[in-house]
Amino acid sequence: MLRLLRLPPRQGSSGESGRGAPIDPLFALARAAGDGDGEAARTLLVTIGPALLGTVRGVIGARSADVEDVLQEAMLAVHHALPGFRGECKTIHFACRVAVQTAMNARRRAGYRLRYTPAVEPAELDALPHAALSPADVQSAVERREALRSLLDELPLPQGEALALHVVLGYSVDETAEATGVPVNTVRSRLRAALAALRERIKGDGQLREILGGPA
Amino acid sequence: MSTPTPIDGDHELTERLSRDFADERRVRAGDDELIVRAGVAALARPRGGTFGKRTALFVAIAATLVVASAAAATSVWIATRHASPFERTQRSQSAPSEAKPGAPAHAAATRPAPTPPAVGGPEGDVPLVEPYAAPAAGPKQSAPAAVERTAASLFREASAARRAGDLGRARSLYTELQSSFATSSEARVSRVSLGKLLLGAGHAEEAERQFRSYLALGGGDLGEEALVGRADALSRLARRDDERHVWQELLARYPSSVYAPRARQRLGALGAGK
Repeated sequence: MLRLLRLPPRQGSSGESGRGAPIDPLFALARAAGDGDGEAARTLLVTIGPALLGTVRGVIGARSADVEDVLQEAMLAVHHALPGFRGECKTIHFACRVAVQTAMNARRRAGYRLRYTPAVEPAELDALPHAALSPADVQSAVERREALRSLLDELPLPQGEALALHVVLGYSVDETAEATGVPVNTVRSRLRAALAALRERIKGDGQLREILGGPA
Repeated sequence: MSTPTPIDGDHELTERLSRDFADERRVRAGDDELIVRAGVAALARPRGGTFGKRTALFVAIAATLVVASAAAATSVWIATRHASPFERTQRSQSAPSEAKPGAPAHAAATRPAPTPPAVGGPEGDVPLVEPYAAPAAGPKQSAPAAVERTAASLFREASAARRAGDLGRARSLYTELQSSFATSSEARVSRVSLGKLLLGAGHAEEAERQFRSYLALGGGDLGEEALVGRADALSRLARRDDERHVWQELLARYPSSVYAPRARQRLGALGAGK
């Protein structure tokens, strides 16, 4: 990874989350960036770039033509949000949450286009040589992802955000709570509601039921 | 990242979906470049300017048209104001034929629109839109043409061609970008991209030229990559002295670079061979 500025030494008590989480190595950089240090901002964006890119790809689809545009939007949103960041959670969680929101908004804005786009792009199958899955398994995974993404477009934002952080980014419930700044039980209830909506969708869609019942 | 905690009876479902998405998040070749480009572009955008690139493009085109119209109106007003009474009479008599009803205001413009201020600002920034960076010479571009061919769109096309393995097309698009939008940040970054592409294809001399031209512009976020690329190209050209200077420059400018160990190793080998 390109390094533009050496990371500052680990900070003392600042940057430690209120929940007693480990020290955040990016907090000092985030604070400098939030205070208007352009070089720190550039370094931070490049450092967290892979995580933001993974987030964007997870939410809008790795093959979407909008990945670069949305990544840029997400980086801009993170940059604008930094002055208000006080280290309530890890910088990377904070940034990924902003990226999730940005990408979800981008998906919702692009809804009119998605309606006229095939749910599954044949190009996704080019992952096949790298995966130890059968073509049918790859296709099933693609369709499961699309089902979840289209659900993200329709869920209330807090539920969609919790679902995206938990399932798309693989955050634990605790990490999701930390990133969103709400109690763990609130996250649990949001996830329950979101997964209930997903189950309803599966029940009403024979093809999806078959896919989700098929091989993982 | 830890495994998601199961939510009641949805453990299997969330596990399966998490596995599906893990593949989507994986790092791909060329991601570094994409991230640097997006980061630089994001920082070049003004605070509050959260509109998308496409919106920005249309806003810029609309702004260009407004500026052109204003310039035309101003030039007509100035010409009318400073004309002699005789000329004014003549102009007013011929006005109907010059400015037909319904014709766009800027159609009568004889003076080019003023150059808008640069969007990027600091060197290395990526401007949002490129209609302003039209070729210095040659026919004036119409607005639709500017929409079709911007530095950003050329760069995107070229990168897509490179990723798709169509090196000939990628090379031709990068070259077009550099000649058509020579002053744009995309053209600058493309020198490193094209340099890498050429080096990979065995054209070390041309690759070295690309890296050198990037470095000659000074600053920039890809200085380390350009120096390493140039050193590699010089190595293939067996220009050992030049290669040694480039590695030394890398160590001087970026002493804790990730490429520093390699630079020292090469310097050792080059020194031993002296």
